Amino acid sequence: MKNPEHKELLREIFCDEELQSLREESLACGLSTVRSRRRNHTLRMAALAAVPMVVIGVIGLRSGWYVIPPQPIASVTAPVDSRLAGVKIYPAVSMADAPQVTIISDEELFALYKDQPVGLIGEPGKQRLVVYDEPAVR
Amino acid sequence: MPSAPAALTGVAALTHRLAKGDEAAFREFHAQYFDRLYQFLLVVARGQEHEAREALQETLVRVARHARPFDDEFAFWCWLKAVARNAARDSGRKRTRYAALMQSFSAFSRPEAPVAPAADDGRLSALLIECLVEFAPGDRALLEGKYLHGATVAELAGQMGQSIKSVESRLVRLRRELRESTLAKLRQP
Repeated sequence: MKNPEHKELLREIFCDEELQSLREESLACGLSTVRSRRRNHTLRMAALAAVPMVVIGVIGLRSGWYVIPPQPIASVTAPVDSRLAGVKIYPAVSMADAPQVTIISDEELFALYKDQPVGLIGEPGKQRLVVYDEPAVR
Repeated sequence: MPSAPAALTGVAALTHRLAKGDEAAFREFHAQYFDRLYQFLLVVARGQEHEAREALQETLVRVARHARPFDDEFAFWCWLKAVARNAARDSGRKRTRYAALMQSFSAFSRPEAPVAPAADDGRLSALLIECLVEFAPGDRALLEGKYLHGATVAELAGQMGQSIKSVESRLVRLRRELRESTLAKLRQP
């Protein structure tokens, strides 16, 4: 190992002014590398933090968590029938959203609700099935 | 920028900060190790100053890019030496490729300076002393008085009965001669 005196002599002999420009240039270059390293590190950390969120999102999409249950229409401006007051009306589900839909006739539909008072209201093709909570008044 | 843990000191603290990308730590490292690495690379490049400088630049960039924490100075210096040797070797390869390319266009090619396989950082110091011994007794006494015994130029001038200016210019000439003779020894196969 060098002793301090030799170190001083070596520095005087080999590390003169000629080396000054290299000293400055290498410092600038090194600092720029340090900055870019820090930036890359930050980006890598951000990417790592995003991975669990992406995974959760993908799992959610695959398992169908994202499906929002149909909400009742907030308000019906004018009830079709006064007897329908207080009845919750759900929007019709689009055919495209339902992967397997069996189309049945009105009679077949009513047959499904043998013991319940039900009715179809609205224009043909845009009808809604209404289920009465109370027995129908005849 | 986050600072190193309070318990860490010296090289451990410096390398922890370097690994975290602290610019102040890199400045500190540069100030502490630039000369030492250059002297080491002079030995590795067998006295070829241009190659040593090229390798030094590359070494410092690699340190900035790949620095990691070390617990003690010895381990850190060993790692630095390995990085420096690799940088010198890679610079040598680049030069070889370039020389081969140039050779295909002309007959001229510059042979690559061989890299010393087990260059040690103490070698330069040893060669320096070896060269110093070969100097004339008066010259040697002047250099030793200034650098090994810590005498000032004024003190030396007083002892030798010469003016300060003449002692200074003599020291400049002796330093240049010592540098050339040390580099010549390094370049010997």
